[in-house]
Amino acid sequence: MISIRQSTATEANEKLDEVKAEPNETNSAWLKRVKAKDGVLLLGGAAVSHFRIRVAQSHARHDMTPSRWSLAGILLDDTNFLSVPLDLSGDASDIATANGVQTCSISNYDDPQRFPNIAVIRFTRDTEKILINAKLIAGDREARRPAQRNIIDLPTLMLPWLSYVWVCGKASNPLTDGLGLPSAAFVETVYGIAGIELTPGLASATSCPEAIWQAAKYWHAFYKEAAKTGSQRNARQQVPTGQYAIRQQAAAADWPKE
Amino acid sequence: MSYLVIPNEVFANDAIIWVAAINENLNPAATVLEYGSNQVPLNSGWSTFRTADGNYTIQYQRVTLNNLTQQSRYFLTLRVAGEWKADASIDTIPWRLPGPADPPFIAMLGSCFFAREDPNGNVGRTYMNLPASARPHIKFLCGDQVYLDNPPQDFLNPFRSRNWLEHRCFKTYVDAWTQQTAEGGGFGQLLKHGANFFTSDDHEFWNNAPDIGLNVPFFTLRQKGRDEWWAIASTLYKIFQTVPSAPVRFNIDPLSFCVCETRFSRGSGGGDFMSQANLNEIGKWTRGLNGPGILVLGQPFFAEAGSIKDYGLPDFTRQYEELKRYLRDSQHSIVILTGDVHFGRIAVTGLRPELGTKLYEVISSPMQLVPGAKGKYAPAPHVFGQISSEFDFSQGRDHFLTLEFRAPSPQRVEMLPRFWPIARGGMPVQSQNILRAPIELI
Repeated sequence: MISIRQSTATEANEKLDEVKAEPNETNSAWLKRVKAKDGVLLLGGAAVSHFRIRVAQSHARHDMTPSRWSLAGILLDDTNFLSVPLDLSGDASDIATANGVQTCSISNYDDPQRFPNIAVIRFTRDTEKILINAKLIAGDREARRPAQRNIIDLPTLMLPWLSYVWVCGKASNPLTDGLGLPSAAFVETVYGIAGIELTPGLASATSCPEAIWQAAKYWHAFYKEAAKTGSQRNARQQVPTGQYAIRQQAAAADWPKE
Repeated sequence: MSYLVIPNEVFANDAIIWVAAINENLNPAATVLEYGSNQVPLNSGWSTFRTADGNYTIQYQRVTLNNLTQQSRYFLTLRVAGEWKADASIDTIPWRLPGPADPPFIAMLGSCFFAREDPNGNVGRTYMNLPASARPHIKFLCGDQVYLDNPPQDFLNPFRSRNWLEHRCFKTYVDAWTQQTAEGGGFGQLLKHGANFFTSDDHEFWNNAPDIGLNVPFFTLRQKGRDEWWAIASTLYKIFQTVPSAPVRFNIDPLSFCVCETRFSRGSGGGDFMSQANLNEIGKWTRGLNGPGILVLGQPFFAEAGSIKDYGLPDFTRQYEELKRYLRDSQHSIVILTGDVHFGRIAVTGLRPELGTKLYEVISSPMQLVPGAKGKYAPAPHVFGQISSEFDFSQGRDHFLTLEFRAPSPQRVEMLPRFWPIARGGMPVQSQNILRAPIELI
C-alpha cells in the first residue's frame, strides 16, 4: 500500500457535483455544458495503458479497487489543457525540451468510450499564478525560457511508467517505488509552488490522479482551514469545487471496442 | 590578544550575537557593533571572567539584534573608537522554506572538532570555500566543539591543580575560537559566518561526563574532582558557546526545529539526560507539530545502551522511553540530527504507519578526529522497530554535512543531505552524494 492518510471528514465535499454525461456526449461538450475553463482536469481512460495506470493506483485506495482516473492536467480554456501524457506526440526530443509537458487538445480526449470518466476541480481562482508556474516547469518557447527540470524531472518519471505500462522486464508499479504519475506530479508541483497542497493525504510525493481526487472529495475541511491562513504571495485557496461524470465505475480495458 | 564576534541563534527578525574581548584593554564606552547600516552601542552589558591564575581575562556579552529583515545577509563589525576589531556575518532565516524553484535553505550539521589536530585550519577552510550555492545559512554544532580532556597524557599528573585545569580549558577554547589561517581557513572563520546553534556533549567536559572519565582518571575518579571540572567546563560553555535553557524552537514553515541539550543537565548514568521540564517541552513540540520536525540532540537516538566507559541516551532508560513516546505522538515525520560517534550515518524507520510518517536520524561526526578514537560504522540498532541504515558514506573521513531544505508544497519538505569531506593539502572542496534523491518529509 502507499501511505495515504484518511481524512477525518465524515461526509464528501458537497461542492463537488456529479453532472451525468448525456448519452454519446463528448468530453468537450460536457466541459462546455459545465462551463469549465480552468482548474484541474482528471480523465479516466479505457485503453490498456490507462487501465494499467488505474490499477496501479489501487494501492492508494482503501478498498484496493482501481482508480477511476488515469490522467491529470491543468485546463487552459475549454479546448486545451497542459499535461504530461505518456503518449509520444511530435519528436522524441520534444519530451526533454518541454520537460514532458504537452499542450493537449480536449478534442483528442473527446471519445467517451476511450475516456469515459472526466472531472474538473478548482482549488483556486488565481489561474494566472498557476499558469505562470506551469511555464516554469514546462519552459516558455516564446520567451525563450527553458524548462526547469531541476524543479521536477518529469521525463525521469515517464520512463518507469512507460516500463510499467508496456510490461518491460521486471517493471513494477512505480507508485510503490515512490514515483508519481508524471501528469499528476506535474499538476501537484505547479499547485505546490503556488502554495496549494493538492494531496494532503499522501505521505510522499507519489502523486497520482487518485490522490488529487481524494483530496478534492474528502479534504474540504483542510482546504477551508488553509484558505484562512494562506500567504498573499501564494494563490488564494478555496474549498475545492467542481463537477464530474463517471461513465465507467469499474476499470475495464474495453477500448478500442471489438 | 583578540576581539571576537560570533553569532549564536539567528531567526527571521532577531539574532543573538556573542562579542568578546580576550586579554584586551576594552573601552566599552567607545565600542559599537555595526550590522548592516545600523549600529548598537556596547557601552554596557559586559560580563567579565578571569581565570584564577590571572592569565586570561575575557569580557563578553550577547547582543540581541531586533527588527532584522527576514532572509537577508547582515555583515557585522565590532569597532572600538572607530577602529575595526572583528567581523562576522549572518543570514536571517525565512519565514517559509523556499519552493522547488528557489535556492534551498541550508543548514550545516557538524560535531567533534579536535583543534589541535587541525593546525592548518582545514575544517574552517573547507567551510569557507564551499560554493556560494551550497553555503549554509545556519549551523548545528551538536557537541564536542572542544575536547577539554584530550590528549589524555596531559592529565597523567595527579598533582595538577584546579587552576591548571581551568587555564588549560580556557586556552583550549581560545585556540579553537580564534583559529584563523592566512588563507582564510580556521575554525574561527567557520564560527564567525552564519548562525551557530550549539549543543554540548561529553568532551565539552570530559569523556562520559558527568560520570567517571576512564581516560582522565586522576581528575574524575573522585566526586570532588568531577565537581571542580564540571564547574569550570560549564562556566566556559556558557561563556563561549551558549547558556543552555529550554529547547530552542523555531519554525521555517512548514518545518519546525527543536534544538535540545542532553548533556548540560545530565545526571549520572541511569538517571536523567535532561531536566524533566525540558523533556516535557520536547513532548509539547512533537504533539504540536504542524509539519515535519527537526530535532537536534547531542547523542544518537538510534543506539544501544552504553557502559561505564561511555553512556548513551538509552542508558537513561526512563527518559529515553519517554522520548520515544513523544516521538510517536507526532503527526508528522521527524528528523533527528546528531553527532558524537565518529562516523556518519542516515537511518530511517516508520513512525506512525497509519499516517505514513517516518523517523530519520542523520549523524555527522567528526569534523576533526581526535587521535586514536576512530569510530567504527555500525548500522542503527533496531531500538525503534526495524530501522534501515544507508551505507557508510563517511568511511572514516573527517567531514560535515549540509542539509538543503525546500518545500515543494505547503505541507511537504524535501531534505537533501550533502557530504563534505574536509579538504586537506589544498585539495578542492567537493561534495559527494549520499542519496540519489532528497528525503521527503510530511
